[in-house]
Amino acid sequence: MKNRLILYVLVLVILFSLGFTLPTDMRSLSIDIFIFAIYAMAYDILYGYTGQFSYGQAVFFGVAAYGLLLPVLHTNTNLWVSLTIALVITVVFGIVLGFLAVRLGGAYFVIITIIFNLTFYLIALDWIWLTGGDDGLTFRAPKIEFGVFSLSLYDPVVTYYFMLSFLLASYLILKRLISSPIGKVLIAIRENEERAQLIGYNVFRYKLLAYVVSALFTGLSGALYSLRTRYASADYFNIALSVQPIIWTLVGGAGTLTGPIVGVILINPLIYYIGVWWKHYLSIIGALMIFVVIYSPKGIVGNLINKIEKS
Amino acid sequence: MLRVEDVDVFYGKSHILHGIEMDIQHGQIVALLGRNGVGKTTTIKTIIGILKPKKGRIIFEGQEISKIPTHEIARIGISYVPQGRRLFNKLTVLENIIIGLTVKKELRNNESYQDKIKKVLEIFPQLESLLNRPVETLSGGEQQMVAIARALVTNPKLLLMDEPSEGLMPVLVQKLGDTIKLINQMGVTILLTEQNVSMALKIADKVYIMDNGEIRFKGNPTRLLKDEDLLLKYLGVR
Repeated sequence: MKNRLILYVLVLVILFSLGFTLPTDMRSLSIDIFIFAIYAMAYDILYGYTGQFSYGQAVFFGVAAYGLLLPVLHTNTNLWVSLTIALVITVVFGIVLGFLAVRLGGAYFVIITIIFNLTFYLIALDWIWLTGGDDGLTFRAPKIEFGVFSLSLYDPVVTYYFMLSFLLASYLILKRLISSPIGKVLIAIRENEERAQLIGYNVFRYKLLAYVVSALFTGLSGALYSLRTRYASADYFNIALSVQPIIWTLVGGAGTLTGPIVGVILINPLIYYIGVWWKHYLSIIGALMIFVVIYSPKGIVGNLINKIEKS
Repeated sequence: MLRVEDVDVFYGKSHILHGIEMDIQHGQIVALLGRNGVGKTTTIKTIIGILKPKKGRIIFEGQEISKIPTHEIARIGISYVPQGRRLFNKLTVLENIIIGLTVKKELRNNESYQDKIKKVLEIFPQLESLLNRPVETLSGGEQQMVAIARALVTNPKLLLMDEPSEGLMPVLVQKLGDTIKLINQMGVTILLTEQNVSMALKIADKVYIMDNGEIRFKGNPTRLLKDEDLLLKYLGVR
């Protein structure tokens, strides 16, 4: 317990000090990592903790990205209002799509989430009047306002701390969720759905809850990403973006919450640096996936936890 | 307390249960016996709502339960200890037990978790030192205790136990019989399916024998023990 506390404090001190000291490119990469770490944790709630293998989370990433962009672009709403709109819209979509998908188990669930993803992607490509299609839409990032104080997201240091604070808040909320009785029920459903039902749990309701919570935090990362890039396009619904959290989660360790963050920390720098000089960089990700699946099927953090438990 | 009235159950096109009739009174231990594959587990699964009857009704305390979902049946006071324990392996013993508690608000409010856990530990004192161990590391007997403890913690009125002695050493089977008796004395009505005929007949107030998806015998254990032909024909014992 004490060791864990020291580790948490150490990580926080490092993260806070890096905001000022990192070179520009690495700070930029860190900001991306913070945003995608939220996405990865959201996926872990759905797959790692509840066993629902979705192949279409980019739907919520894209919906929230536009949910933030459109109000700012057309009505010049402030940051907090537009972020709230983005998240509310994402939750509504989460409930509707979840209601349709969660009833279906196993392969049917995977297939319907792919169908959702492709449908939203094609709609986003087609409805150019709304989304800008493939070219996308750009906007001016609103200021971060706290009463009389305001900060600009055009300052990379501000963006660093802004995104970091969302990552930390998301981690704490999700950690609290999985440690609560609800979290234990989600694990119970992943372990044995029928058994959870026999104890008296409405499995559908809990699976839907996990789906919506995952959609909400995926949406948060999508909204933050559009805020960071000050842009969104149909590509934010691309199915490749639905594959990424699967890779982060499997490499880092499903059902660990920190594992998927480790996955992002390992994989995104690979893409960021190697992708610049080698166009076949994805083959490295593929090789890493194969290596992890064969030698560490529980993922890096999952394997580490296993070793600690055994010792 | 529980009446099963003329119940027929199908798996796809296969007709598994034929006109099952059962009557369980409050406070009884009822044993459902029969060889492998005669429909005992199917009957239990139908009572708990995993399978739905094509014909007939199941009445629990005056309420028809054959059409309501499994989780609601569990909430009205029927708990199930399935064959092979089926615990949540990644959770600890304590987490496996309290997960049964969090399902009912009234259980959370009326009595503290600690009191509830204390009560089941009085029945299974061996579990006290194992509370923080993941259940996958326990022996079969210990896992069975956890499975029963988890079912008991919800204050069930009727406990369904499917082959509770399966895979246990003979000495543990004897102990299990005593535990079932103890649970019954605490006011829980019990319906159990068993392959271990001698243990079941020692503790049961009433016995049903099944064969080919039909009830072939209904009566008290003394009557059954006198009928050697029946014992041999349907249970393979003398």
